[in-house]
Parts: sequence; structure tokens; C-alpha cells
Amino acid sequence: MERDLPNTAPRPDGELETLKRAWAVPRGFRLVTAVNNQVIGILYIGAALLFFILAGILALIMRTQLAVPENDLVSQDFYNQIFTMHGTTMMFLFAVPVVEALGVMLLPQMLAARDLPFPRLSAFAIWAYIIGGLVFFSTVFYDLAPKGGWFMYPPLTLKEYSPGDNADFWLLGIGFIEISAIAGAIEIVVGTLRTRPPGMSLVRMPIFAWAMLIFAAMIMIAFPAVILGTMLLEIERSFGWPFFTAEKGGDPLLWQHLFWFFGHPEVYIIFLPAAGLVSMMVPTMARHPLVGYRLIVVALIATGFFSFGLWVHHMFTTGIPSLSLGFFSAASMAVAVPSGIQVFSWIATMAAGRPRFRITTPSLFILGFLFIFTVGGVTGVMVALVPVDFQVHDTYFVVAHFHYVLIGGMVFPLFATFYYWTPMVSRNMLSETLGRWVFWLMFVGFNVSFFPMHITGLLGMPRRVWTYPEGLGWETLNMISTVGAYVLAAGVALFVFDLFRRFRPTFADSVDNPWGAGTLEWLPTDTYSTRSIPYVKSREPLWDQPELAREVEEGRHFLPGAPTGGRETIVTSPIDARPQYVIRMPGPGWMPLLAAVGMAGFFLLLTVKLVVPAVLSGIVMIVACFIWAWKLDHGPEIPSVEIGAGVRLPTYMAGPLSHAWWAMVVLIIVASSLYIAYVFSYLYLWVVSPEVWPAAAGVPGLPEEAWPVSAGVLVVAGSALVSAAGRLLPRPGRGARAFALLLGLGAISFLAALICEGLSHWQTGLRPTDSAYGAMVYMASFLNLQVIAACTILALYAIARYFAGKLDTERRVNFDNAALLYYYAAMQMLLGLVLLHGFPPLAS
Amino acid sequence: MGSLEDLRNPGERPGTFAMLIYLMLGPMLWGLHLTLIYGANTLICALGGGAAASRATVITATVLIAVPLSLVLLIQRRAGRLFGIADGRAGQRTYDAISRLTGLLSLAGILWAGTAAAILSACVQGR
Repeated sequence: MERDLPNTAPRPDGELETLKRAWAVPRGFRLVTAVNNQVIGILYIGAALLFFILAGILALIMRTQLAVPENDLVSQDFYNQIFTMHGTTMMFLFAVPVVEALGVMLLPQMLAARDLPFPRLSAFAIWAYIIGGLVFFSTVFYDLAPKGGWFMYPPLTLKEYSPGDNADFWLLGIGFIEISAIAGAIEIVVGTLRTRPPGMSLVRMPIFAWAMLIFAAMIMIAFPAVILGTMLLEIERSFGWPFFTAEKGGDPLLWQHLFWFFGHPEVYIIFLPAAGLVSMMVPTMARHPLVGYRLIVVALIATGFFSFGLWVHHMFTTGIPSLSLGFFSAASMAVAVPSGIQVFSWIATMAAGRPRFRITTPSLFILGFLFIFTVGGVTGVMVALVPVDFQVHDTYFVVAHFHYVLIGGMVFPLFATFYYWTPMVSRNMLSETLGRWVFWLMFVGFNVSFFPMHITGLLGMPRRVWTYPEGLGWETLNMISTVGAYVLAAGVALFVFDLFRRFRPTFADSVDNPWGAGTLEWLPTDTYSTRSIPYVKSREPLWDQPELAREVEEGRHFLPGAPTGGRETIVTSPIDARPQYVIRMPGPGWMPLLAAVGMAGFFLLLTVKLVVPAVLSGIVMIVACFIWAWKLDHGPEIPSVEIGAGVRLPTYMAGPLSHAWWAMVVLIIVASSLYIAYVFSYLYLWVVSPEVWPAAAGVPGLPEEAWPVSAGVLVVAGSALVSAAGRLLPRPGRGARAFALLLGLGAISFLAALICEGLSHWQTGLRPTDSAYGAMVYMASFLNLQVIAACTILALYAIARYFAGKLDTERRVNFDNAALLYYYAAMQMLLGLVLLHGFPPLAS
Repeated sequence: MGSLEDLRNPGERPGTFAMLIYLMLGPMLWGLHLTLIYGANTLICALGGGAAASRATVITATVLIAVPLSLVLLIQRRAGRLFGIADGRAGQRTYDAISRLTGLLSLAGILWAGTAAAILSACVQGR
């Protein structure tokens, strides 16, 4: 019986051709301009895999060095560089990027969207990551690699103890790779909440989408803390602002707080998406819906939150009061509960499988993951106990623990993912026979390598040692670990061999749902994703609607063509996924690549103190972004289109419903997280060293009250001017010069407030190099400068759009975004004024 | 949402913000609790306020946050209505269940951390 479907078949002549033309992928050398999520996704995953292999090679060098006592295969200094680069590369250049890459590749397919909402942002993120990552990694070949460990603790990493540019490469390189990660997070949040297919409410969303949503939210909160930390450390190294120098009121432990506030959630940032992938594969292999869908969602949310309450457990031995240790010890144990919920849910789904859970290569990797991750979880609870942590801190026990968590919790699910989803984008599946060899080599190799490290740790072997003397009882265990590492590497090498042999990327001729999965990524696809966007009624639509694939392919669901003639997808409401408008998306272009090159040049040239070329690179980036953005806002030239079922949707949206507004809100959350981390740092340093704050002898006093009041008035006036400018936006086709004037005055008012605030402290005689207090005061101005610079660029852009006739009461997204950021800037600056001028008198 | 007809209405209630708050109410209170007790303990110990003051602060914060959260758990459906999730709305039972279970886990986390005050000295270093 034919069901009631949004559109009828056969579809009109030429509809499919228009769709194909709109989504065509550039060929030849122009492939680098492609923005289609499948192209970007494959490239992204390939790059991440390359970094995984490079970091793995460094690990093999380390294991070879440690195989026998008193070995001198590599020098001590080089060993320091390679263990730092191994950890840094694995965490920053492999683990987070590969997860984002999977999000870019899989999410649009799982949500049956034609692409993520900001395809050029994805392209920018991938190119920034590839260029920056390769340059950063290459430092290991020039004796320029950082050597302070992947967490780069000061005072070791201050200029005094780490001269040269090695540490700067870490600080600037990582800072900008994190910008790439945040760009990806914006894409994922907006994509998950706004581009789901009609009918796919939050409670029907695939678990991987839930996991990615929480992953991206965690990046928004966690990454700004380490971005602030890297800024502080780089500024101290370059200009001598003493944030971490104890003699001037700074504190090296501030770095640890900032780093681990990012660093511990980072573990879950990596793990949650991997768990999401497992939650997608297990039901397919069991041929049974996931047992405890709600519980898994609860576990993901709870893990996301609890992971932010654990950072101090990396600092148990730093002299924090016992009671505080108790809070974080409790949280560290509490996080095991949601992780346990997921493990039991997967086991229950496997047990419910009918006729039984299928043992395939992905299944083997999942079972391996369950075993290894559970062991890592148990040792995690052990090190969450303060007395145990005191004993094993900085020993190989900890090395064993986190490799069990990270390799078990992330790498094994990732390899399951490669075997499971390769058929979605390849003409061939990977080999099942070789896959089983790969699994067993990796599983045995991993355990042989890392299990003995628990014992070497308990025997007292510290982390990061270059070599060790004979007679401590560590020799045999280290040799076993080294043998295991090579077996593990053999497994990875076999996988790479199979990948070269079998992986043949394609958009249209992929293997047809080989596992019999129930989710939308297994619908027939082409460069445009699915022919039509399905109307979804359950969590496993392909199981519950057996005709769905055929109906979608016949174009009988939503948006079967390209009614505007370009790239587009449906934007739906965040909770119930009701269609709201059709988003028009950009196609291929050089600008994301050029902007990424400019940004990489800016950061990397700055690292080697080539200031002028760095500034020129920064200008290239900004110009490229302007050109890129100029054509994004099409305006409502085609007012609305029919998508099916009698639903007619606008093709342009401004205000809180628009995806651009959502992206700006996400960006503001990131900026506010950064500022909250700053406020924490300010208060923390005051707690540590109140003697360098005003009112103490020899410390310049606060500026007269007229200064902050003037700055505050300017901020409020600037906001009012921006708001008034919004009300004076001209109607389409008309002019209203007062708009540009008011917006310009608003921008000037904010700049004046910024200068006023900086000057106010300068005229008291306070200098940023004087003390931690001085450094924190001027840091506030520096953070405000960043936001105001972004606001000014957006305001100038809006004014340019206005003079070009592309900004009016209907076509107003550019102005709305600038105004939103200005209002945020106003709040940040006012909060800063209250803190910097109101707190010291209160505290004294 | 039951039929194609429903898709023609693009608006929805509750708004995204209210729904997210509802689903994450418990964990947000847990976060508030941890921030308060850790901040207060650090500050009181640094300023030499004494163990008794620190302990009292932790216990007060724990009670002040755990009691309202427990109440929400007891009247979950009524709380759902307050956030705009009407009875019988599509997915209502799932949203309620997620909110209840995250709340329950958070309550356990709050009590677990709070009991530390009854066991440990407030300002003495563990080592």
C-alpha cells in the first residue's frame, strides 16, 4: 500500500540534473576548493590518520630507547622532544581532529542533510589544521620541537628554563589548532540542532548526534581555558608579564588549573563521540534497537558535566587542602557511574541480539574496546583515590592507565568505525579476513605493551625518563612493553596496507548498506547526499520503514531538487525538527584555503618573531574572509520554495531563527568561557598573592573613579548607538545614511572605552611587567581588544554591505551578528570594569 | 509529532533554551554546588577563616542545593509543565525521564561531595 508521502513520483525532467549540477565536486587540482562534507571528511580523517602514524612512530622510537637499560639510541634532549611531540600530536593533531572529521563526514549523512550549515567553515578548519599541523610536527626534524611534556608546565617552560623557540611553537601552534577545533564545534552544534530531517525530534536523534552535540558543547567550554593559558604563557615568555613567576605574585599552579580544566574534559571530548559510534554499531550487529536509549543520553549529558569537575585530580600532589581533594575525588568516582551505564547498555543490547550478536571486524574492535576501556576505568577509579594517587603519581602506572582509557576508549572504537563505515564512502569494504588479523595484532600488542607498565609503575619507574640503570627490576617488563608496541604497530601497518588495497572513495557507487543498519547514513547517496530528505518517524527509520530507501531515491520525500538552483538544505526547529526555512549554502571556493594559509602564516611567523610577514599573513586572512563572506548572504531574492507536503519555506532568515544567529551565539559562549577563565585567574592570583594587589605598600593605587565611569559610559553609549543603528536600517532599495553614521559612532565609542580603560591604569604608573596584578589588569584590556577588534571588523563589513546596497531591514544578518557581538562586548567590558575597579577596594 | 500536517506549523514550544535547561537542571545544580564549595573552601582556608567556617559553608551549600533538587525529582511532571513541556506532548515521557535521571545522578554527586565535609579536615593539606 502506498503511504502518504511529501512528494509524488515520477519527478519532473531536469530536476535531478539541476541537483547534480549544484552539488558537483570540483575535479583535478581544484579539488582543494571542494567544500562537500564527504570530501572534507575523507581528507580530514586521512590527515588525522597520518598524524596518528607519525606520533606512533615517535612512540616506537621511545619504546626502542627504553627496551634495555642505559640505552643511548637517542639523546636525552631529543627524547624530551619526542615524548612531548608524541603526546601533543596524539591529543591535538589526532584525537580531537579525527572525531571532528567523523562528525563532518557522518553527521550530515545520519541527519540526511545535504551538508553541514557552514561548509566553507569546515573547509577552513581542515586546511588550517593540515597546514598548521604539518608545520608544527616538522619542528621535530629541526631540533625546534617543544620539550616540556604535552602539558608544558611552567616554570620549566618559562623563558629562563626553556630558551629558544621550541616552547613557542607549542603555544602558538596549539593555540591556533584549537581555533580550528572551535570552528568545527560551531559547525557541529548548529548542524545537529538545525539541519535534522523533518520529524527527527531530539528523542529520535541518533546517539552519535547526541554525543557530537555534547562533544561540541564541551569544546566550547573547555578549550577557551587552555587558549587563555597559552596566551598567558606566551605573553610571559615574550614580554615578561609575570603570570606564572612566583617572585612577582604569579603562580605556576595557575597554568595547571587552566590546562587541566581543559585537559580532563579533553579525555571525555575524545571518548564521548567514540562511545556514540559504538552505540550506533552495536545495535546493527545485534539487529536490535539500543537497549536504554534514554539512559545513554543521560550518561552522555552527565559525563559531559561531571568531566568538568575532575581537573583537580591531576593536581592531587600540589598541596591543595584535603577537603577540596575530597570534592574532586568524589567527582572522579562519580563520573564512573555514567560510563558504567553505557557499558551495561551495550552489553544488554548485545545480549538481546537475535539470532545473536554478529562477530565481524567492527564487533571484535568493540569487544576489545569494552575489555580495555573497562580496565582503564577501574584503574581510573584507583587513581581517583587520593592516597593511591599520591603513590603512583607521575609513574608508569599512570601511563598505563591513560593509554588503557584513550586507546581502549577511542582508538579501538575508531578502528571499528573505519571497518563499519568505509562502505558508506567506498566502492569496496575493507577485508574482513585482514581485519581480524589487524584486530588481534592490535589487541594482543596493546595489552602486551601497556599491561606491564602498571607493574613498572608500581615498582617506581617514573614517567618521561630517557633511560634507567640496571638492577631496578624494570628491564624485563620494559622489553616486554617494547615487543608489544611493535606488535601493535604491525596491526596498524596491516590496516594501512588494507586501506591502500581496498579503499576507493566514491559518492554514488558505495556499498549498499552491507550491515543492514537502521539509520539514515545508509540511504543511497550522491554528491548531494540523499535525493530527497526523508520524513522521519522513528530512531531506526530503515528498519521501521522498509520502503524508505526507494522512496527517498525516487524523490518522494522533502526537497527532491534544487529549487533555488544552488546548494541548499532544510533548516528545522531544534526540538521537534519542524521545517523552518531553506538555507542556501556556498559552493567550492579558494577563500577558505587562502584564509587558512593566512592564519597559519600569522601564527607560525609570529612564533619565529617575523612580525611584518606575520601581520601581512593576518591581512591576507582577513581579506580572504571578507571575500568569502561577501557572497554568503544571498538575501530573499527567491522569497520561498515548496519542499513537499504543501510546505512552503522562506529561503532567507534573519534573527534568532537563522543559523547565522545561532553560530554567533555559540561563538559568544566560547568568548564568555574565555573571559570566565580570565576572571578565575584574576581571583586565583589574588588568593595566592594579595600582597601585589593595590592597597599594599609600593603598589600603584587604582585610577580615579572618573576613569572607569567614563569607560562605562562610553560602553553604554556605544551599545545604544549600535541599537539605534539597527532601528535605522533602510527598507530594501532605499538609503539611510544615518545608519552608517550611528554604527560608525558606536564602533568609535567602544574603541574609546577600550583606550580609556588602558590609559587609566597606565597613568597611575602601573606596568604589566611589575607584578601579577599589573599583568592581569592589562590582560583584561588585551582580551577586550580582541573582542572589540572583531566587532570593529564586523561593523566595517556591515557598513560596506550597506553602501553596496546589500543591507536593509530584510537582508540584515550581517548587522544582527555585529550587534550581537557588540552587546556581548559591552557586557564583558562592564564586568571587567567592576572586577578591576570594584574588587581591589573590597578585598583590601 | 504525528503527521505531515503537523510539519506545516514551524513554531514549537517549549523553546530550545527552556528544554535544554530542563534536561540539564540537575547537572547544572551539581556544577553550581562544586563551584560554591570549592571556591568557598579555597577562599576561607586562604584567608585563615578556619575549618569550622569552611565546613559550615560546605554543609549549608549542600543542603540549599540538594533540597530543591530533591523536590524537583519528586514533582518531575509538574516541573516539566513549568518549563513548557505539556502533558502528552510528543516525547514528553522521554524528556521527563532524561531530566529525572540526570537529576538523580547529580543529586548523588552533590551528596557525595558534600559528605566530604563531615569526614575531612577543611584546611589541612593531605600531604
